[in-house]
Amino acid sequence: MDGDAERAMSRDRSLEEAVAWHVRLASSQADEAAFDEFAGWIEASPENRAAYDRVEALEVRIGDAAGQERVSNQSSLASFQSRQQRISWRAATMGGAAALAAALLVFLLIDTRSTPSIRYSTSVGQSRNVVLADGSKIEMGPNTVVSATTGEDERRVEFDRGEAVFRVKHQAERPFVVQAGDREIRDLGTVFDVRRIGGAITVAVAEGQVSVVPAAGGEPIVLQSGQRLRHAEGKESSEVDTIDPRWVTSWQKGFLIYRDAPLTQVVADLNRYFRTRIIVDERTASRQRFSGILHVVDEGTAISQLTAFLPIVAVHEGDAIRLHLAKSKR
Amino acid sequence: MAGVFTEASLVHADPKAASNLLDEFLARRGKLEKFLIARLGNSADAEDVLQEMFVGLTRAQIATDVRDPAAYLFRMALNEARDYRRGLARSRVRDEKWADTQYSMHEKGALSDAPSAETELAGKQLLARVKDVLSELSPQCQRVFHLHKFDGLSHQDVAAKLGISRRTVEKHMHTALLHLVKRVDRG
Repeated sequence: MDGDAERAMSRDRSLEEAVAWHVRLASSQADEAAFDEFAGWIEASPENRAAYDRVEALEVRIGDAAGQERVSNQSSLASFQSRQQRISWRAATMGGAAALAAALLVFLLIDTRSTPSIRYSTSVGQSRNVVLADGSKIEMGPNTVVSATTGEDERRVEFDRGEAVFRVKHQAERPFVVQAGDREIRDLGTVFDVRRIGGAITVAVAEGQVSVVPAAGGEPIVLQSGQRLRHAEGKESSEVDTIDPRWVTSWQKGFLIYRDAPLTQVVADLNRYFRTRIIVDERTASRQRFSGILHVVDEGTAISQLTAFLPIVAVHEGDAIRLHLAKSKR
Repeated sequence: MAGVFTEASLVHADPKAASNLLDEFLARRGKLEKFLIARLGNSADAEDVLQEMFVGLTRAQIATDVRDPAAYLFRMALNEARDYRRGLARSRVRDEKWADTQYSMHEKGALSDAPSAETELAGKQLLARVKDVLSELSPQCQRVFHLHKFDGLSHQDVAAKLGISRRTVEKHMHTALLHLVKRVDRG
């Protein structure tokens, strides 16, 4: 057999072994000894590593494509389901007591199957990462409160207040739902940010897709990566605009990015990160708008960045810092 | 994150589980490093992934019961290595795009990690090809692959659902994956 044929055979063998290893390690029965053996096999020849890289990469591509597909099916499924919901309530009211009782019974059955939820919270200036039982992560920002339940049919997070980045592991049979006020965010394997502060809800997607639907039922809005939804609780509708996907999680690295934001919002955010309260009177605050990036390494730096950009000065007042309109600047 | 926040805290639903894992990690650091060097082929990448794992383990709250901490950590290392390699691939694409396009803060998609319209189309085409290729295999094999890869069921759950053994499930996955990597993969 010549060199080329030998090499081809050897590559084929590596490929077959790589597939076998992939399947074996995907099993929950794989133990430390299995991983040890795997390391030995990979080091035995560079072809083995190349083969495994190839199998792993294809597997990832298929997984990603399948994830995309599920999300687009889910959003059409969600709108189908919400339509079904409306129809069945109508049938219940028209069909009388029996139909209504049946609908309520189903609702109760679903409810009792959920497991108790765990509450997580952070204080001002504090961050906390939570890993749920399914491997999904909630990266909590400061002054944030969420409650998480991983039940049989659903993984649900109640979003009380604050801001968090969600990194969700896909599970087809168990959708991941975040409820923030009067909105539900449904996800199947993406990275997205949720803010709920003072009745203002924002959902921004860094990777993948989510669908946002009224908690009481209704038409879903599907958000792609690079899209942001803003919603005032109690209102019917929401606004969708675009955002650079890299900005979605920039707060985690200390960069707060603002595009024509009112000073009241900037101050409210800074007060979530720093203990020394910043106060500003309503009139001054409502007139000033800020566009730019605040690097919140420490309070002093953040405030001096603000005073550099806006016609305001910062003055200590007791144990707080008050922002005044600067008389000399225009 | 520590630089930004005054306190980045550890939260333990089960204090024993989380500190146990961290202890196990520290005790096995050498072994995990060797494993990652084997997997990634160089020590610099291995070091990066190891660091990611450490940060993840110190910051995270583990809400599950971990029966076999060693297996858990090795699997975590393999998954982190996979994600690391994926990140490298994306960076390469991003760097190539940088060379071609005008960079602008407001230009969405120019340098983003997020899937573009092209990626979505490529994804759909890949799935079509996958389904096509798989149709050459037995119906049982196709069912197993679908349940595991598309519906996300574990080997055990697929076995239970189809009333077959776990071994059979793994055989089918092997057949399917080997077929796919030979026929679908461009290398």
